[in-house]
Amino acid sequence: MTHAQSAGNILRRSGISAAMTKPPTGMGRGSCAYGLILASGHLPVALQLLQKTSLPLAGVYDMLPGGGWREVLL
Amino acid sequence: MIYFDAAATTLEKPDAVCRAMASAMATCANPGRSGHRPALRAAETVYNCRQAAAELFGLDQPERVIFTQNATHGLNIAIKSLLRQGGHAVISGYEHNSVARPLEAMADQGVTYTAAYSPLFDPDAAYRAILEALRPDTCCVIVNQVSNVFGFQLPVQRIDGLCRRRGIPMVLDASQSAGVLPVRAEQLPGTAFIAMPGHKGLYGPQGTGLLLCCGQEPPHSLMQGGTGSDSLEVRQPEYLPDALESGTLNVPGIAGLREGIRFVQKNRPELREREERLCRRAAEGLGNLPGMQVWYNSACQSGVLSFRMEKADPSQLCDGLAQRGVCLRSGLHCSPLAHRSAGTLPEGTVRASFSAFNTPAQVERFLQAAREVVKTL
Repeated sequence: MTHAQSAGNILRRSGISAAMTKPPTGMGRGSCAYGLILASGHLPVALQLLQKTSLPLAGVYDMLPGGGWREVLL
Repeated sequence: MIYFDAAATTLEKPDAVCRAMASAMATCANPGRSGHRPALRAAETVYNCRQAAAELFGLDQPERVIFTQNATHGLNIAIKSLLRQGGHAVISGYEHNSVARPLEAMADQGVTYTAAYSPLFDPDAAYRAILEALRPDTCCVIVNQVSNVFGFQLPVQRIDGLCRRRGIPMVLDASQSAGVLPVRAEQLPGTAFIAMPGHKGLYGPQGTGLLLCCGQEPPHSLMQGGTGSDSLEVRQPEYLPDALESGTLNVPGIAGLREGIRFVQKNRPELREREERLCRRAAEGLGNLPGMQVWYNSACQSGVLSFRMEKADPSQLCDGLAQRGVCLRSGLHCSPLAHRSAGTLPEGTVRASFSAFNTPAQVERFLQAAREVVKTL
């Protein structure tokens, strides 16, 4: 989960609030298996920030009403 | 009691270290496994320590800070990462058995090594000996920053530069220097790995250590297993820190280490000056005793001091001092190479090593005890 923690720190330093979460198995493919929840409005800036690092990004998902997830194609 | 055995482990710790460990025992679950609050609290505790270590040692990526059991563990990972295909290593003439023994054990995998012996307290000679020992098949150079026997500060910056120019990765054993002398990864561009204990100059608990992965060399895990990540995959993850951290981490120990690092960050310049002052005074006092040999050179020595009587075994001197409440260590200090370099084999020496919690008054009491013991030998 260290990668998610480092990513969260990077976002927070830029004023983007990000909460750690443990997503369902399979969503964290090839990554540290933890995710960050942030407001969708911050997504473009967050992606820009994280793409400047070597931190792996397994995917981006929308939280659906009722608890489901839908992958956002980048 | 006077405890002058900080080179083995610092006995006295900042109060915050013990408090943090007790708190972690009571509140932290397994980090990196679950999403509940005690697990996330553990993960935050671990990450805070990783980040603090990265800041203290000049690494820009906390993921490159690996938690180990001790410096030996980290050195084994470093050595086995760089020499897994066989090859030649050059080590200084002041290395600990935590370097020499892994290399010896890899002989059947085609690993050879040269110990670059050089006179004590001669940084130029230490550099030249390393330079002359390099071969076309040399795969790594391993040096400690401070000899655990004599406190001799090796010229690691120059050796790092040599390694960088030759394209040979250096491994730095910072066992006696971390927390005392500056250790900055960004100033050592030829260094692939830096290993250190958590329980000496960083004032953390025993059972903790750090390995800094500074270079791009792929790390070799000594142990594979659960990491909480990539669980569908039966192969060990290759990314850091997961590649090198299988199984449950020592969270209480890491919580304590975090506070130890905080203590060092707050007091660092004074820690070195204090240890060097105590060392200097002890060397002066011992040097005035009849028949006492003292190895001291203020130009290149950290807070570790070796001495012995010319006509008595070091263990007798050490025992006599122990009976008067002074805790030291005698013998070879797991470093026969250093004693060979200094000409102190086979008996070795008595070693005094200082920490932030030692005082000038303790040094004076130690010297009084030494005067008494000398009369009996």
